[in-house]
Amino acid sequence: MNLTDLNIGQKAIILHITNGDVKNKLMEMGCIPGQEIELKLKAPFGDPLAFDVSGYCLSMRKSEASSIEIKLK
Amino acid sequence: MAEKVLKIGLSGNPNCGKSSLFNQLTGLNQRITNIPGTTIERKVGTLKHQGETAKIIDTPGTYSIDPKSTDEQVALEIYADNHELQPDVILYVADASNFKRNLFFFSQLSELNIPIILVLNMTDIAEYKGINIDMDRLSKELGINVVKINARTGKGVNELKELLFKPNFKCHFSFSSSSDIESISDRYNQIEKLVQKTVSQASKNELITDKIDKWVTHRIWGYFIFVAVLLVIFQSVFKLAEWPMDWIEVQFENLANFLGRVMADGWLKQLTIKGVLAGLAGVVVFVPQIVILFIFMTLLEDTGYMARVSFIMDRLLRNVGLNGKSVVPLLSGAACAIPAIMATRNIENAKDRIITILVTPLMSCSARLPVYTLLIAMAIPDETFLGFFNLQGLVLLFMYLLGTVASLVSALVFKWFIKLKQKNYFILELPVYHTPRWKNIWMTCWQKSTSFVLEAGKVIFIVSVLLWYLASHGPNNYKLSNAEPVKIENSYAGKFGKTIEPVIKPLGFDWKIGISLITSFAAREVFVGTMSTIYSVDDEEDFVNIRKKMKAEINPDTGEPKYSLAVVMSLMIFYAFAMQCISTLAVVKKETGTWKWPMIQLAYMSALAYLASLITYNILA
Repeated sequence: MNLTDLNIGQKAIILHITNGDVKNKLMEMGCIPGQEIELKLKAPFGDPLAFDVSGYCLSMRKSEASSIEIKLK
Repeated sequence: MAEKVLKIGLSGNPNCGKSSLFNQLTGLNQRITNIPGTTIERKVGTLKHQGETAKIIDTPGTYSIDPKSTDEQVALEIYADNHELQPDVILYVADASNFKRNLFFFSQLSELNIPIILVLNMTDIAEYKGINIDMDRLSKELGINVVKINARTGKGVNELKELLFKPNFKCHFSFSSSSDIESISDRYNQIEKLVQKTVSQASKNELITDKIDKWVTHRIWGYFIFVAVLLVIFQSVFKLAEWPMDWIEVQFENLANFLGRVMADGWLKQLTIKGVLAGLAGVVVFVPQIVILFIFMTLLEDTGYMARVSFIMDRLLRNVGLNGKSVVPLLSGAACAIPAIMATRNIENAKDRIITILVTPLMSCSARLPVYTLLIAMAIPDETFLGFFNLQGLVLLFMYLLGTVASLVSALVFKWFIKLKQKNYFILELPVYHTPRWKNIWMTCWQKSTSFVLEAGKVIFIVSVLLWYLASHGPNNYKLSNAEPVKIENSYAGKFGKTIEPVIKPLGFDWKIGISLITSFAAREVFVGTMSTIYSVDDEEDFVNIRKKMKAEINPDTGEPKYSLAVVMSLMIFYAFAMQCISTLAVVKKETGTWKWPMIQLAYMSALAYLASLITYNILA
């Protein structure tokens, strides 16, 4: 299950991030395995998405969010 | 006795309030300097406190020591060994309401072996979020000074100033040992441990930010709000600026009259009044509009709204090969392309960034305004359409929309042509909304406006002098005395105009317009000054007279007025698309590091201008 599967208001725990271009950047921005994450907003057209993570609001494209594997809290 | 000046490096994440603190510490004692031979600009300020001096070096907000954008590279440069600006002390500003992530970059800088002070800003927001930080514990764990401030109100800044000049400490908390991917996790785990010991989380209140965001990012309301904001800006720029602009025109008139009486007749008088003064008036009169535009741009950025605009526009912009982050440069381009192009530094993807830089000058900048204003007044009647839409205003709006559409379409075309494969991300923080920090806004606005006027002023000064010379001298000892249109024909300027006339005739232009096109190549707003020189109006800033003379001009071939709707539209559209700004080309070269891109820009925009103008003239004529 990955981040794009969340509904607004749903919380999850990050399991890991698949390797790729954005992995480093996402991790630096606080998307760390074990971290809690919640979907806050969807832009019109459902892309990009905005999440509450590590204490602040981070937005990213669906394609970027799909690389983050999660389990529901 | 040489005074040892303390070098303080100001670092932190974007949106942490660093620039507010910089302004608090340095007041107006700050300069933006350019590192010779590079594209890097640095903001350096001076702080004097009880007889001691410190140099404070501001850096762009950064998330990590591993730079992914140009902005970030600049921020980290000063930490390189043996850099002349390498700080003696690092002042790290952290947003306390966003503590964990802010500590990431801190953790990296703390390993640089430089004394560091941790400054906690925005603690009021942190408290609202239920976050409570035990400063003493934190200070003990890290082994350094930890200070609480409110950069907006200035609370705590004096205590901070004291601390700067006292001995400071290197951080002894260990965040990690290696520098590969695994260590990002490690680092955050260490940060988590630190946070467990020092931060307590009470129950959270729902933030107003979240409530606002529901509307601002709404499928329908989001866009409505955005368009409404744009309308407000557009209207303000034109309405609010009217009075100051009129006032400035009057001042220049008075100055011209005064110099006219006081100076002795001769070439110096001519040069000063008709050359330099006329040229400068052309750019200074637009300062009110530029200032208002800059204020709005900075306001939107400062409150956090711009991030939301990028958020809702990304999906649309992606279709034309741009990035949500291109919104800010594109919008700023409506004021002036130069700061807009510099704002592309935070776009990590090279292709997105280049395309944004290439198309931004198509947005109708303030320099095009004098041209549009004059030409619209010539051929568009001052009537109302459908009861309350002013016809002239509508045409002006049309020109703005034309620029916008052109930039988006061009971006699409470039998307197919430019082959650059690179990391492409959007990952963008949406900061909590802030009420505007007016001190910062005025300061930024002042800096941007003065730098615009100075840069543009330099170019225009040179061009005006040259033009005056070329228009009042010619082969065979021709001299401009009681100038009439026929005589200008014999000057050097006139000869140039005549030479290019065959090329521009299909666009509906004659040699007089030709001269203006040549001079406008340096800067668009020179157009008005040039036309008034050519039509030798006594009072340079009297638009009414220029208009009268131009309106009275008859086309020798047809017997009809020269400046018909066809010619005027053709000319405006030419100006909408042509690259007529040496300063822009210079900045593009600086920002991309090569002449390749400015030359491509010049080529495609010239071709676009010529074709569009050709089509327009032939349809309307």
